[in-house]
Amino acid sequence: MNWVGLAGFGLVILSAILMAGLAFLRRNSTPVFREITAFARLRKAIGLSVEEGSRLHISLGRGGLTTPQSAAELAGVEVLRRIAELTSASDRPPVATSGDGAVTILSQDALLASEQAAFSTGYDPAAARLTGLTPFSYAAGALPVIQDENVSANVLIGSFGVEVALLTDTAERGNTSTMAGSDNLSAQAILYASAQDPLIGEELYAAGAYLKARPFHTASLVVQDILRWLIVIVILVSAILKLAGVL
Amino acid sequence: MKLKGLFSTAIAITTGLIVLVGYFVILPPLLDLRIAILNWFIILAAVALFVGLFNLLSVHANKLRNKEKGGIYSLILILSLLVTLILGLWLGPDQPVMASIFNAVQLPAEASLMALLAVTLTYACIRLLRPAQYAGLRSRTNLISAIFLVTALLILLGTAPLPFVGYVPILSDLIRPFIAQVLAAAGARGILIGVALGSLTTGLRILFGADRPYGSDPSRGGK
Amino acid sequence: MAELRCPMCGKPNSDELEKCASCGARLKPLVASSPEDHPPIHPGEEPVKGKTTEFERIPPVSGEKETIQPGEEPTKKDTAELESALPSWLRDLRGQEGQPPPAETAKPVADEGLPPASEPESSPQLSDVKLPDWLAGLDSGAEEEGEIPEWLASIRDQSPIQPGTPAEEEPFLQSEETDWLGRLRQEEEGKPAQPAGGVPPFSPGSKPAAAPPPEGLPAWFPDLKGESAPAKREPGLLPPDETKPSEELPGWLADIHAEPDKGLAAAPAEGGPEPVEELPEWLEKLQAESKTPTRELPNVEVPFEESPDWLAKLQASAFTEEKTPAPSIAPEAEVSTEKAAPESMPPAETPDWLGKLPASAHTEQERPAVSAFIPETPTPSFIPETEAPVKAIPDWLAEFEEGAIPAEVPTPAAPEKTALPAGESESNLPMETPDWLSMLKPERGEEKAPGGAAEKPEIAPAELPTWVQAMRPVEAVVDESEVPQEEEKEETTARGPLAGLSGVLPIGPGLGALRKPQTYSTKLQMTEGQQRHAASLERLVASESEPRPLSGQVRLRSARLLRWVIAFALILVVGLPVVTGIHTVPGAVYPSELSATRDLINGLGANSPVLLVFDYEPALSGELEAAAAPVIDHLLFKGPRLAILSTSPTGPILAEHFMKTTQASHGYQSGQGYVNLGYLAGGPAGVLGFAEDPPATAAYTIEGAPAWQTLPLQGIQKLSDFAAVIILTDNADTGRIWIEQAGPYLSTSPMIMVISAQAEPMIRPYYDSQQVKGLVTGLAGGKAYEQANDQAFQGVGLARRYWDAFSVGLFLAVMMILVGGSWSAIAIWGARRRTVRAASNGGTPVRDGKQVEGA
Repeated sequence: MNWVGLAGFGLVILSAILMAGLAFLRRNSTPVFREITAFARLRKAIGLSVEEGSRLHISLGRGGLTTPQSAAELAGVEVLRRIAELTSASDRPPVATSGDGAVTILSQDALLASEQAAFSTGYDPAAARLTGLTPFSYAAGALPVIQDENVSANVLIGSFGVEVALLTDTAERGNTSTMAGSDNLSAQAILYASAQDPLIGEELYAAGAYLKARPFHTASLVVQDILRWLIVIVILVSAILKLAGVL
Repeated sequence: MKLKGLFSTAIAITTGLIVLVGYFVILPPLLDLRIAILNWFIILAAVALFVGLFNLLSVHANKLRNKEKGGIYSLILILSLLVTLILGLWLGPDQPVMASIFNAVQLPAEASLMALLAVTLTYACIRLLRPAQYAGLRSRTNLISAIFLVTALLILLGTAPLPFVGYVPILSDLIRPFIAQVLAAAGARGILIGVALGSLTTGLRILFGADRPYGSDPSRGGK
Repeated sequence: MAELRCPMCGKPNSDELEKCASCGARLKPLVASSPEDHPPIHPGEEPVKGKTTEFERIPPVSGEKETIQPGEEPTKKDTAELESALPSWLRDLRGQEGQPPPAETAKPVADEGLPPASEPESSPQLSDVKLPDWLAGLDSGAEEEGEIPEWLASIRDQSPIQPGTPAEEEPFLQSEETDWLGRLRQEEEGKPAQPAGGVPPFSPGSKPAAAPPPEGLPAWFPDLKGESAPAKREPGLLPPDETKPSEELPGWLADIHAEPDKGLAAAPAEGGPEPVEELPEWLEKLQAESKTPTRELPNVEVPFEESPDWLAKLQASAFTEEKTPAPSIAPEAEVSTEKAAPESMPPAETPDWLGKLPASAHTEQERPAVSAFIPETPTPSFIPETEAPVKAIPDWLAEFEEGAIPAEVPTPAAPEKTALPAGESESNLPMETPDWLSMLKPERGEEKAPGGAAEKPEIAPAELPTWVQAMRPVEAVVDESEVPQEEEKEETTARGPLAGLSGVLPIGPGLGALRKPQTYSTKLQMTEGQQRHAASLERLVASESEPRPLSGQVRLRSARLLRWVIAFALILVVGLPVVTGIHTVPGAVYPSELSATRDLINGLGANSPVLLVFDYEPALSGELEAAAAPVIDHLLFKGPRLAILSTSPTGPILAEHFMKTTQASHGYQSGQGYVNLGYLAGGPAGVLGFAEDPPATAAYTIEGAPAWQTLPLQGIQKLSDFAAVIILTDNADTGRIWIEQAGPYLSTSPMIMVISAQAEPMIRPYYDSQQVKGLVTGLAGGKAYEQANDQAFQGVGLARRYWDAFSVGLFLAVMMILVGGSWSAIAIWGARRRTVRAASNGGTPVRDGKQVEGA
C-alpha cells in the first residue's frame, strides 16, 4: 500500500473511532443543529400533506448502489423511510421514484417497513417505482407523478444530474414546493436556481439527523466537521510547504 | 423476523468490511475475496435492473388496469417495452432495427428533453430575482442570488464569441478562465470534499449497523 | 372549726380568718374605731376616706344566700349586725355620743340598684315607718350602743322617729362637726325647708319626712322616706330610727331624713308615720307623694367609701368609679333621667351650703349619679300615685337649683327609642330623689371628664356599690343586665323573627347582627387596561381561525407565456444559422490542451490498438458527438484498431451511432476495424476489473463473439497493451472513475478525455496533474480542433455547424437573462418602495388591486 492508500485507510479508521465514541458519549444528550430552512419547511410540508389529504413525492435519483453515488442514494432512502413513518396516518402514502433497480427495491422495503412499524396494512408495492433507466427517461417518468397524483411537496434527495431541472420546473408549475439535494455539482447549481429549498454540499447527508436525530447521525455530523477541519489544516499546511519549496 | 434482520445486517457489515479493507490492504486472499464479492454485486445489480423493469411494468399495468389518468401513455410504454425487449432478445442489439428504434425514439427524445433545459434554465435565471408573488413559492432576492446570476452571465459571455463581434478578449481570456478554473473549481472541490466526507460517514453508519436501508429497523418498531 | 361565709363571694372560710381567702373581704366586722383612729370631720374638710369593705363583715345568716340575685326578694337582716359595716367616721360619731355607730349608712350616690319602692298606702309616719333591714340595725344598734352623734340625734329629734332611736343618734349629731349643722339649723329655721341639692346619703334607720317624692323617683325612695323616722336627719348619716327630735335638726335635714325612709321602707307603710310638723313642707310633700309601696330592700352590704363633706365626695367617688360612660341601660336611663331631671323636678330650694358647692366639681359624667335619683320625664310606673306635683320646695333648695343647676341639663344623645317601656325605665330609678338633690350639679368630675364633656351627652354610668345594688328593685337589676339599647339591639328587636319583643337575649359576640348576607357580584371586575388586553387577545384568537385570502394565480399565465417566448426565440435564433448556414461568428480560440491532444494522436502509429470508451448519455450526444467527431476523425486517419466499451447501458448503441454517422467516411466496420465490447456493468468495480483483466471482464462482443480473438484485439491482454485510451463522457464522475480506477493500470499509455463543458471544472485538475494527457472540452474544443485540422477536414464539420447557432443562442440567452433580471430588480425595488410607504402609512401595500404579500 502506498502512502496515499495508507492515509486513506487511516482516515477511515479515525472516522470510525470518532463516530463510535461520539455516538456512545452523546447518546443521552440533545443534539443542537444549525438551522436549515429546507428541513424546517419539510416538516411543515409533511404536516400539511397529512392534513389536506395529499401526498409527498420522494425522488431518489438515478444513482446506483454500486457507484460512488450510492451514499446519496442511501441518504435518500433514509429520508424516504422517515417521511413514510411520519405520514403513515395519511390517507395517501408517499410515492418514491428512482432511476435504478436496486434503489427501487430499497424504496419498496423502506415503505413496507414503515407501514409495519405503524401497524398499518395500507402498503402499496406501486408506491415505489422505477421510472426510467436513463437519467432523462427517469425524469420523464417522474413528471406524471408530480402532475397527476395530488402531490403537495417534492423531496428530491439522491444522485441527480441536470435532468433535475425538469422535475423542479414541473413542480413549480404545479404550485408544489420542492426540497432537493444532490451530490452532483451541476445539479446543485440548477437546484439553487430552480428549487425552493436546495441542499448544498453535504447537507444532503444530514437529512437523517435533522429528521430524526439519533446518536450515530449526530456523531456522523460531528465527525464530518472534525474531518473537514483536518483537511483544511492539511491543505493550508501543504500549500505553505509548497510555497516554501519543501514539497 | 428478528433473525432475518440480524442476518442481513451481518452480511452487509461483513461484505462492506471486506471490500473496504481489501481496497487498502493488499492481501491475495483478501483481494480474491473482494473481487468475488464485487462480481456478486455486479450480478445483483443487473438482476436488480430486471426487477426494476418488472416494477415499471407492474406500475403501468396497474395504472392501465385502474384506468387512471395517463393510462394510454402507460399502454404505449408497455407496448414499446415489450417490443423492444422481444426484438432485442430475438434480433440482437446490433441489428439495424434495434438501432433504428434507438436512433429514432430514444435518442431524439432525450435530446429534446435536454434541449428543454435551455428554456427551463433561462426561465429560472430570469425569475431568480423576481418578488415572491411572481417567483412562486420561493423568493431568493438576496446578494448570493445576484452574484450567482452575474457569474453565470460572465461564463456564458466568455464561453462563446459574440455574434458579429467575436470573442471579447478580457472576458474570454481572463475573466472566464479565472472564474471557471479558479473560483468555480475551488468551490467545486470543496463541495466534493464535503460530499466525500458525507459518503464516508454514511458508509460507516451502514457498517456500524446504525442505518439499515435494506430491511426493517427493529429500533423503529420493525419486525 | 366553724366556718364563716364570706359576705361578698359566699365562699366558706375559716372562723379564725378575718378576711376572705378568695376575695379578700372582711369576714368579721370591724370594731368601732376610736376617735383617734377616725378623727372627726369638720365642715369643709375632706372626709377621711374609709374603705367600705370593712363594713362588709356581716355574715349572712346560715342557710341564706350571701348575695341577692336578681329577682329575689331581699332577705331581712338584723341591722344591728350591720353596724360593723358602718364607716369609721360614723361609728366615731356614734361613739362620741356613746352610741354605737350606725351599722350601716346608705350611700347617697346611685340609686339604680335600689329596688323600686312600693307605693306607700298612706303618708308614712316616722313612727310607723318600718326601717329596712340594713337601716333597722341602726336603731337597734343605736339603742344598744348609744353612740349617736348630737347632730344626728338632733335630726332625729326633729323627725318622728321611734323612741329610743333619736337619742342614739343625737350624740352623733352633737359632735364637733355639728357646729356647722347647728348653724345650718339656725339658718334654716328661718327658711322654709327645701330639699337639698345633693343626694342625701341614706342612713339606715333614718326616716325621712313624709313628703311626696317628686315625679320619677323610684318607688322605694318614698318608701325609704316613709320607713325612716320622719325626723330630720343628716343625709345618709342617721337611721331614721335613731333620728333625734327634729327640733335640733334643720328642717331640710329633717326632711331629708324623712325622705329616704320612704324608699327604704320594705313594706308598705300602712299609715305611715305622720309627717312631723317640723319637717319642711317640701319634704312633707315628698313624703305625701311617695305612696308607692315600699319593699324591703335587700339586705346587701354596701361598702361605704366616702365620708361627708360628704355629698360632693360621695358623688365624686361614685362618679370616679364610672369615668367612661358604659353602654348600658342604666346610664342611659340615668341620662334620660338626668334629662328629665330639669323637666320633671320642680324647682326646689336647696340649702346654701349645697348651692355653694361648685358646679364644676361635678361633670356630666357624674350627673348619672345625680340623675339616678332624678326620675324620667314620664311618670314612673312604680309611682303611680306620685302624680302630685311638688307644690313647694324650700327656698334654699330653689336657690341652689337656680344658681347651680342649669335650666337645661345637657344630656348625651338619648336613645331614639326608649327600648324599655316606661315602666321598665322607671325601674332604673327605684328611689325618689328630692328636688334639691336632683338639682345638684356634679361638682367634681370635670377634671376627669374629657374636654368635650359638654359635647358628649353620654354620661358614664355610676358604678353602684354592692349594697346599693342590693337595694335595687329586681326590675332594675334585670334592666341592667340587658343589652344596652343600641341601634343594633333596637334593630334586632325591631326586625328579625323576634321583632317587637323586649328582653330578647342579645346576639352573642362574634355572631353579629342578623342581617342578610352580603351578595357578591359574579361579574368579573376588570380594569380598562385588562379589558383592552382581553379584547386584543380575543381579536388575535379570532384572526387565527379566520381564513386568509389566498393570493391570485397570476404568475402561472405569465410563467407559461414567458416560457413560450423564450422557447420560440431560442428555436428561431438557433435554427436559423443551422438551416441557412450563415456564419456570424468570426475567429476561433485555441485552448492550450488542444495542441497536446493533437500531438498525442499524431504520435500514434498505424494499426495501434486504441480503447474508446463511450460513457455519455443520449441526451448529451449532440455535444459530445460534436466535440469528439474531429478527434476521432483525426484518430481514424492513423488507421488504429479500435475497442469500444461503455459503462452505460446505452453506450454501445451510441458508439455504433457515432461510428456510422460521423465516421462513415472512414469505412470502419464492426468486427473489422473496431470491436464493440458492449456494456460494462458494475460501475467503478467493473472499470477496475476491466483494468485489471480486460479479457476476463469483457470476454464477448456486443454480437456475442469472443472479443479477444478478433483481429482488432489480437495481442491485447491487459489495459496497458492499448496505445491510448480515449474517454468520451459528459459526467465528471464517470471520468474520475476511469481516471482513478484505470489510470494506474495504463502505465505509459496516455489517457485522452473528450468531455462536456459541464465536466470541465472537475476534470481539468486531472489534466493539470497529468493524469489526463489530452483534454477536449465541449463544442468549443471540438470547433477549435476542427479548425486546427482544417487541412484534414473536408467540408464543414459538425462542431463548425453548431458553433454559430451555439453562439447566437448563447447570446440570446444572455440577453434574455439580463433583461429579465433587470426587470425583476426594478419590480423588487418598486415593491419595496410600496412596502415602505405602506408601512409608514400603517397599511398593507397593494398592487394591481391585490394585496402584496411577502414583498
